[in-house]
Amino acid sequence: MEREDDMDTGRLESIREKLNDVCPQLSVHDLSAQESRVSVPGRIRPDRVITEGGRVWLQSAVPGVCISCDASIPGAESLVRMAGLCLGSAVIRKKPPTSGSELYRQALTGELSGEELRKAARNFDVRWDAVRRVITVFLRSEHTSPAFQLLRELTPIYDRDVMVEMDRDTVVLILSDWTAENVEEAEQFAEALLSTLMTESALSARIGIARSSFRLPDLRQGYQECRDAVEIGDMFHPDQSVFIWDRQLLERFVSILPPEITRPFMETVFGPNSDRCFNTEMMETIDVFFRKDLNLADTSRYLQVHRNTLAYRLEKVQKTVGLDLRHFDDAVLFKILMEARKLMKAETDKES
Amino acid sequence: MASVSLKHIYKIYQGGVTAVSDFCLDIEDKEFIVLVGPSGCGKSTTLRMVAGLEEISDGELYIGDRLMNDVAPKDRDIAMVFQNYALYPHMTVFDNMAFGLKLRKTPKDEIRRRVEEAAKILDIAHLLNRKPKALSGGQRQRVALGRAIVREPKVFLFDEPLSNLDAKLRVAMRTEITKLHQRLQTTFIYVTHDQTEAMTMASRIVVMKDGVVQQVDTPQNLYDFPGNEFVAGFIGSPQMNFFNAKLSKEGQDVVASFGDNKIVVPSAKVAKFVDESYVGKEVIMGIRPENIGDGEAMLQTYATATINVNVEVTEQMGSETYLYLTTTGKEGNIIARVDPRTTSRAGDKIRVAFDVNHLHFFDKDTEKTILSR
Repeated sequence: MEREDDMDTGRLESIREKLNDVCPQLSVHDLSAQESRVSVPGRIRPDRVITEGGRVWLQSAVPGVCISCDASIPGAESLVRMAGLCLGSAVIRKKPPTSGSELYRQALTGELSGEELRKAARNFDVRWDAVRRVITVFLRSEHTSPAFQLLRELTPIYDRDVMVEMDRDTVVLILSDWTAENVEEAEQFAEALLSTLMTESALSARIGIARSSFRLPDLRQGYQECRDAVEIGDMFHPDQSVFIWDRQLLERFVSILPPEITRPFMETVFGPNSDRCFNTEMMETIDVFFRKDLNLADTSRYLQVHRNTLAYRLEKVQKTVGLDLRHFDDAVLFKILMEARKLMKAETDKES
Repeated sequence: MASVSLKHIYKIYQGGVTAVSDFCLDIEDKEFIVLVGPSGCGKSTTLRMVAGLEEISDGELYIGDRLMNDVAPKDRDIAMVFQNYALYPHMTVFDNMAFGLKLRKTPKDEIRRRVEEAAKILDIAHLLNRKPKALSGGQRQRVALGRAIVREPKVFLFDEPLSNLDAKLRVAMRTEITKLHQRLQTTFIYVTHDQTEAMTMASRIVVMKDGVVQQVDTPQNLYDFPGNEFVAGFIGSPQMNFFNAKLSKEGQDVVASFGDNKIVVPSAKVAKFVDESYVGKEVIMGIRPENIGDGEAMLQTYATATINVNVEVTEQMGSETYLYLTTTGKEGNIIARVDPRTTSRAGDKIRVAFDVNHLHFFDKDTEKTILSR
């Protein structure tokens, strides 16, 4: 995207001053110009808020412009997101899409308003109402060609499906219900695609899967869900590669709990005395026990251990932390604290 | 078909973390090699280096006579089967199996020939027009194997292919893969954390820990002659029991003591000590669950190797019973695999005997075996 064509530089300066008046802790950095001295985190990405060096950072929709804010002020993350939206909508000159693919890209990023989108959809004969599912592929291994080019060669999709290039590493697939009828099939598709990427080109990726979208403007929400799913998945399940937004309700709930609230509860359960109890084998046992809906027979069958061994392990948990995981209430409490523990570990790892 | 040779292979990540260290192995043509070890031991990383999915930090990898370090994965003539055997839901079995070949621009007739041949081998020829949702878990796994077979590779690589299956299907697929190896007569390299899988399928097993090869041998040799305490504990289920014991001389006998217990070590075993000076020292003594018994005949045969124990838990498996025991001088449980007709029950205080011919001894510092073969 050529900057001169798309944005009004004078307007950028004016918006920047106004934002700074409203919140002095907020800074808008124009990296293309005089501010090359600003040390911007390398992993900054569009629409992804990150915290580094005591500041919250966001790459805005305006090319070469990012926003940062003092991380210690309350609501810093929301503040930079809001400033990003103001900046994007005020500075970027909207250009009508020139192709069907561009129309989908603009629908995904929310660049077009409802009426503009409706008009463009008519122009390119794109259906307004249709069951679609947004799947976003984020390539994470090094690759010499753009992700779009690689995926175009390796992804088996129908004509009615759409592939959209978002940036060099990110490609969105908008699948019709012919390709993936439900979320389980979308998950299979994503897993199969990962296998193909790996075996054919030694590429690894993370894939986010959104809920079904029924109207063209819903695609924007779908794209956001994919990005959120991958962000949450990275924190709670770093060993996995496919993340489904609809299955992360508990993780999203835990991720918004302030650490000062969860920490005392967690220390009650995962104190220094419990470390020996919660080794890898025990955590796997508990994880399978939860996945099998607290069913002893199914769990012991899956783990290939005797029912008595499983009961013995669960009794050990009860002796150590006082929670009997065979009882629903105790299991729920333990599950929430277990997820909070994962989050805390992810944040500690990130800091270190 | 090809041999695979790994010569002093290292994988060192940025930041200096060593995932695999000095891995040396010559895999013969048509061999079924299983890499086994706990999570994080470097087995999958090694396999991925063979596949070309991970760069080799140092050392040389040969497939046949060709140095493969810098050859792209698709040009290595290998096929990989992953743990995740997902199939494209909108494509038929035929199309799923053919997809990799289509990407390689293989002629249509050739694709058809290879898919039909692989389907015949896997007994899924009648399923070729079905979509994955109309298949059972086992049939899907066969299709995933079929995708690899149609590539007609020199080497098959399997990365925990059965770990997503339930226990019953896992056992069935184990046999299927062994049969497949016999039928295809190709080199198989298979990674698993499940020692039962390793024992039942491999021609040779490579046991790994912390990125280092611990021992390479046939399944039976690993079981009978573990080279160190780790291998002894890892191979065998339930695992070998270990005791911190002191070896001492009492008259003509060498005795192993732990807690209030004393076991007379047979002279034939003592003769196998690599160094006589171990008598008088602390060692790690190991014995497998099936070599501990509570039956009258066993107690009489090994009268000089009996100990008092408390029975904590019993697990009746039908063909055998596991006793979880405690005794002095041993932290945690001793597991004994005894006759299912045993009368021992949880809470009982009983005597058990050790079959001393099957005792293992390890150096306390190096953890290596102190017995020669």
